Amino acid sequence: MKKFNFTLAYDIEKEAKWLTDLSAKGFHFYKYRWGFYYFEENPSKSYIYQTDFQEASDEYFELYQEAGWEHIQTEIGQYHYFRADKNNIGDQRIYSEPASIKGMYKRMLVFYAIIFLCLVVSQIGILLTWNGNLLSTSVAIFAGAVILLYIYLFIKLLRQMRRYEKLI
Amino acid sequence: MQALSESTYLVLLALTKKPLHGYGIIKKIEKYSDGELVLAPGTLYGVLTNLQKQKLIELVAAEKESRQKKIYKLTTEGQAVVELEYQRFKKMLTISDEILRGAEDDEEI
Repeated sequence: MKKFNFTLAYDIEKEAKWLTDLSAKGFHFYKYRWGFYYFEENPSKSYIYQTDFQEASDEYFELYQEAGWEHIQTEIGQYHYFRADKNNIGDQRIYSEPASIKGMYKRMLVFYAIIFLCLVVSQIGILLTWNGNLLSTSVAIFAGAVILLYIYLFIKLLRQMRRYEKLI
Repeated sequence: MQALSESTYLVLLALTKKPLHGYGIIKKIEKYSDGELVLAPGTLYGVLTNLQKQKLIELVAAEKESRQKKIYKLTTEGQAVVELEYQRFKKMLTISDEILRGAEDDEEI
């Protein structure tokens, strides 16, 4: 089975819940590519899915594996998909305190803020060579839309951070 | 000194007797809390990173370059921090005991 889904950074917990719910129905996520999630069917299994965001190392993957989390895939070097058999892992998740979940959203914020700054800097050329023709206007509109999307992302990420801050 | 988070304190505490690798720390805390406190890997990884930055723990020298598991130990400063925090907890416990078990004779306050 293959399903399309579009998830923005701040929604990775929702995504994990979606994958966990599907797994409970017998469809287990095993691969992600270009917005498509691939599932294999096995009604006798049920997994808990979790996604982490951070700079990983060999030690990192080893630690998660020892703690019972099977690494499925890594996207853009920062998003790591894990799963664990529901019967073995029980109530455990990849984070056991709100402060560390807040830390994850903070890492996301910094990561996207750097990309955002690079994008903004790369667009300065348009302003400097501005001549009001159709091309520069449409590029500016596109850049504006991207900037708005990033601002939306930052607001959402800050909101997630605040949500977990309250639980500390 | 700012109070440590519970996880941070537990990690430092787990390393007081002997150096351990990451999962060893989780197991030790789990064992001593009768299975009640199970540190999640993501939380532990973050704590280990922070403690290394603050120089409260360090890798055991021989392991630095090898491909074996990384083993962590407390630095002298780390030892001092655990001791301070332990004293703080003890003091809080004493105060708690006195208030909870003490007779209600606070009229002069």
